Amino acid sequence: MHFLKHELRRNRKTTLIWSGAIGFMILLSMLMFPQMKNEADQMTELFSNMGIFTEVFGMDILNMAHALDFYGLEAGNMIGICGTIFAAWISVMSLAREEGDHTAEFLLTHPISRKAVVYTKLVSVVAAIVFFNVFSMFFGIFSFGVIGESFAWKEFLLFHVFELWMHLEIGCICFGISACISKNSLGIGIGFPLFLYFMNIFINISDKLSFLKYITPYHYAEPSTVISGEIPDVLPVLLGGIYGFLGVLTAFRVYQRKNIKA
Amino acid sequence: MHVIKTENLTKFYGKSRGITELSFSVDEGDIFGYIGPNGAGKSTTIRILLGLIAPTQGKAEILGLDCQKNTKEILKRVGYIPSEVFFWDYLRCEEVFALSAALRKCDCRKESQLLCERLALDPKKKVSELSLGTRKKVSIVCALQHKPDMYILDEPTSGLDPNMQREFWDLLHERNQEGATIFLSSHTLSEIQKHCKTAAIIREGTIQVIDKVESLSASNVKKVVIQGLSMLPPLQGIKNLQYREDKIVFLYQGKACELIGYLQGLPIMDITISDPELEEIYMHFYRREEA
Repeated sequence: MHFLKHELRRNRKTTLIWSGAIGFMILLSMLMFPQMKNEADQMTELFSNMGIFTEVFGMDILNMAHALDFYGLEAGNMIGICGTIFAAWISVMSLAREEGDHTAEFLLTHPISRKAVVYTKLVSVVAAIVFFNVFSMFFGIFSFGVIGESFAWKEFLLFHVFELWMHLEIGCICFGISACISKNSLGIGIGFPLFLYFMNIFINISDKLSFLKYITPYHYAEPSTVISGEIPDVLPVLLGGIYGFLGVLTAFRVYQRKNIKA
Repeated sequence: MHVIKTENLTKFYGKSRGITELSFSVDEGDIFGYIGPNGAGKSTTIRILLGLIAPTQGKAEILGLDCQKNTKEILKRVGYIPSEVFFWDYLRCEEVFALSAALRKCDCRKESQLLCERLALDPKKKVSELSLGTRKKVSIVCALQHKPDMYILDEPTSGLDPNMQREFWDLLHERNQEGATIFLSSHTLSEIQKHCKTAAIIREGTIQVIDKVESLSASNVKKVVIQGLSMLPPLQGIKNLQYREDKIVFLYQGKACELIGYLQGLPIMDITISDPELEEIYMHFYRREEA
């Protein structure tokens, strides 16, 4: 329990900074909505004439005159991209930074099993990701209140549930990677989510690449699908859970046998 | 009873050698010195004993428990001081002690306070503000506060000033008198000679010699210093021959009567035959190919 408190405390600052920054950005974006709403006709026409970008960002489905659609586009990109980078970053450095910072030797020469170390770090990572998502969601609700707009709760909650699922999937995969490396890796923390993000863009551009939806979580968490009331394919969502589970399993298996570097 | 026991302990990092077929034991209540140059395999041995790395082959036991299978049980009864000390920078010293005690599921507040007083350590200080020596003190408190049965120390006095080194050795001797066993890896041979009962010399991953420190110091190796000669005729048993200004210095391993017979008739102005320092014996073993 003491070690868990230590881990939570260690992630606290990073989690608060990321959550606060994204929450504030959501609020700022939503403050732009009343003005956008007044120019909705022009905006809709503009967005529908952006060629390939219209489809890539789902602007042919979302109506910018609707607050929730606007939220889906703006907050969806911020929570989607920044949230996955946060989840990947905090997860990938979780186990690896003990070796990178040379603190693994201190920790693992105490009577704590490696299994307990992995378990505790996993709990602290999941807690950080959940906190980030709940915080973002409350900022979203607060933003709607500030601009005086109502929204459909079901679609709103569904959007945030899929975002959370995506963050957990990426977080768990990166947690598995963290057990395999010995240094803090900012590159993986940023590169891996962006790689998956661009994979989804390719799906939106070409139907031939639709099989990628079984790899990238951005497809099932796409705001334009969720907010428009469509239920995403179940298989990619389930596969996402399996990928995450495999990441966690890898972390347990690798870390228990790992030779700890000095 | 053997507190540490290794059998054919071998570790390779890919193709590079860590240690090869290391077999030794440490008795209960011993202060065991482990001496060797950098890269000899001292840290590799310690890291296997602590379960941080797995051996390529062989077996290591501490307190009768397998170091790979019973790591948690072993670590409950072991205090470890690493050569290089790292903690989480945002913690205060007292938080490091509390975390260490909590991981051991014991309340060590009284003992840590006592140790801080003896080591002149301010527990309120942040780890990030500490010098190398003070970090070492924090590590000493963490290793000693739960009063373990076994201490594994890797260069424990590096960074400590002479006063603190004395205080540290006093602490260790007290713990040893209470029955604890101490395994000490060090480069400082005078330290081993002064404080250890038994010593092992490791070189290129294999143990060269294990003996009582007294026996090692008083082995049949003698240090000979001769004045008045410019050249020395060849003799079997001479090692580490050095010509220094007006002196010839060498280590001799063999029968004393043969040495005296050999020196007779030589125009010697002055001669000293003495027991060598442990350091010289160590160097003698380490540099044996060069001699």
